[in-house]
Amino acid sequence: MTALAVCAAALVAAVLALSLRGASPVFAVLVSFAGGLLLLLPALGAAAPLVSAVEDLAAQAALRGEHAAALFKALGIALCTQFTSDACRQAGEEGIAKKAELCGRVLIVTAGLPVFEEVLRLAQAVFDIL
Amino acid sequence: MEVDLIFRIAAIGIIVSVLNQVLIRSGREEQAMMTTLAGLIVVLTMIVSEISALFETVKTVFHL
Repeated sequence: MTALAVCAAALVAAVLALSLRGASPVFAVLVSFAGGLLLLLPALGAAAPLVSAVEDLAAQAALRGEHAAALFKALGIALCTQFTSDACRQAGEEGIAKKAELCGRVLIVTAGLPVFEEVLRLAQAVFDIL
Repeated sequence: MEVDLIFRIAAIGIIVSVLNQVLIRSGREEQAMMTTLAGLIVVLTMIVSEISALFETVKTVFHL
């Protein structure tokens, strides 16, 4: 997938959504959903080797496996909830979008909690030595 | 890249809105609403599988 194809697909989706907005707004929102999906799916497919490369780098930098996993988990949750909240906002549901974002934040904090606990334990160990 | 999904959804939207207007003009409001609903369901069944594919890809890429 080339960059030009992505740009063309985005423009086509935007123009089609705009032309449908007057006649049937529901289908305009659905077209913009589909456009977003079609742009995001190949991007994620291309990002898969990138993620494994970053994981390799983290392993070389002596970063523990579960820490990198928590990082990627937070990234995935952020991506999912951002997509969902954008879709809700496009459909005119600001309240549901806000709740989806809040849900994502809570899930990300939950995913990062073990790492934070470890930091606190490390700090406690340092203070115990002092 | 399946750009034709966008075109298919837009085509269904145009057809449904034209049918809607024709049916409303001929005084069949119930059938117009049913047509809109049917088009919506068809498009949603097309989109839901794509959304599920997106979330599955996120799951596998980021090891959720």
